[in-house]
Amino acid sequence: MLRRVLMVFIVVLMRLAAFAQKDARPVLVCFLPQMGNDSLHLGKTYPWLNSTIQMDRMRCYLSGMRLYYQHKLVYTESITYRLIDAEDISTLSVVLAVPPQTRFDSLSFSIGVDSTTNVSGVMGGDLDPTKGMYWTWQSGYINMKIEGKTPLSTARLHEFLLHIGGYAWPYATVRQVGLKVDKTEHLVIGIDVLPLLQATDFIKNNSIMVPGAAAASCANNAVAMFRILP
Amino acid sequence: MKKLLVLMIFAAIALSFTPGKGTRLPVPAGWPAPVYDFSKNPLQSDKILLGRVLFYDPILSADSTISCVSCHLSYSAFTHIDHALSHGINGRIGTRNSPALMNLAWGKLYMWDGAINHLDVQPLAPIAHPDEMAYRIDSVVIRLNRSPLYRKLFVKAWGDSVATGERMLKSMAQFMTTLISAESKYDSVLRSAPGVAFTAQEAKGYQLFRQHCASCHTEPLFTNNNFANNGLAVDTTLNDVGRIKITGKASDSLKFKIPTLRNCELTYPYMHDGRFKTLREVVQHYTTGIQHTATLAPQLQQSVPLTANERVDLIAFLLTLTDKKFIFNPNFGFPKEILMP
Repeated sequence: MLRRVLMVFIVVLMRLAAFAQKDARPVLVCFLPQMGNDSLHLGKTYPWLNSTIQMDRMRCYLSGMRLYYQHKLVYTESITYRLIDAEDISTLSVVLAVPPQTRFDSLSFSIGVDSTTNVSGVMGGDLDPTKGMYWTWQSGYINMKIEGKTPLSTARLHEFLLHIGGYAWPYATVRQVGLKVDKTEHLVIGIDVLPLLQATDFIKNNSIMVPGAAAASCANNAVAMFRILP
Repeated sequence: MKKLLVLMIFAAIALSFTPGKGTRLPVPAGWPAPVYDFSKNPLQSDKILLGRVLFYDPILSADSTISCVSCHLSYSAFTHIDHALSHGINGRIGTRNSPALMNLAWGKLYMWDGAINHLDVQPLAPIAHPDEMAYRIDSVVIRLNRSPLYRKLFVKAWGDSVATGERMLKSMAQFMTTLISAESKYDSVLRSAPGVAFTAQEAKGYQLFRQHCASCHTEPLFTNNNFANNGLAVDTTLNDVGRIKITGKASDSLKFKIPTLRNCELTYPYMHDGRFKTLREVVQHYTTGIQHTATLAPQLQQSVPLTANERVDLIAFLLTLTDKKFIFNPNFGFPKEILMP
């Protein structure tokens, strides 16, 4: 756990250096993939229910990070879409260039890409289709990819593949997350797969590859994954 | 004086690095405004050229044998002539007929079932399809970044040599929007071009067309870009249910995109599965072959009543939609000077 946090810090120190001269108060936001109270390591087998489980992939788009103070918006970041990838440490830290003296007590963001962006053609950066988060056979972003294995899954090779996407009503899959914060310099947000796994039916819904009711339901369950860690 | 000289030198250097001059889409007279949002991807000649090279380059496919042109050949109005269902990599046969590509800047949804909601992202579908190019967009971009030719083309088009999915797809979209067909005999007649007139048959056919076909195949695009069930019986070897596969709505069952009829002389065979080899068979379908299902287009609840002579006249008119300038336009053809210098 400590090693993971240290590695993230090293990447982040490099970013903080860029802010040293700017007239902003950098707020560091770190994302830590979790399996319950443990740090999540991809490929590691964890005991689960009366069996075991292993995560192989966890990626999601987070967009529109905002800070509030007493329900009033005090900061919106200029980079709007980020691809968070448990396999790529460089994506797990974000530095917000908040104006000095800004107080805030809560943070919000969306999981996923909004519908307007979904119909606006090809985008670049984290939204580039080469990132593997855009459907080829039907237009639209994949908001989350959660993949792993558990003997409880009846799919081939006991895999579960949850590719959550879709922007059209009534099965849009963008979700809002709001978190209260009490620190102001270094926020650690845990992305805990456990709540999502607990809500997943590994017999009926071990493979979600298209927009629809199953994806929408899974998106609902994904909101509980995010929490502020002390 | 010295300052002025320095300024002029800087200006000269700066200007030499500006990308290719902007160009505008030549919208034919009287046509509606294009749907494609050019403000997000303004036309530039170097980007159009890059897009054209990519369109003709089999580098997009897993084994470098299949390019866009494999199913969308310029001489047959950018379709795969004489194939009911197209074949792709290793001769694998797909499930649908290749649509003719023209006037794409006026489209809203692409593919027979409207799966693609923007022209920029259309190439992702054939690139990834296992029966077409069987490849991955990220692997294509890796190949482009390794290619000295493409690095040069990207510098000209985008200012530096880095190929990305976004840049590649935007360049292809730019080329595809330039494929405008609006100079058929029909167009000349409607513009009152000197020395061009419909024959008596063609004129009669045009009247019949306006009466029986134009509600879906609306001028000047010869499609209203909507989806309809035109009474085709389900082919049980394919069981293609059309747009419902994308929207999940029962009202979209058996509905397919209304294709343009421009250049239809060259785009046989016809329909989403290429079941009709000749225009005669198409017209026959509308006069005696319509199958009634729940989602059948309201305009086709009665069969189209045409006498034998009227059927011939209608086809005579459809042949006036052939645009030779379009199919032989060197700007749309194989970029020999780049790919085979």
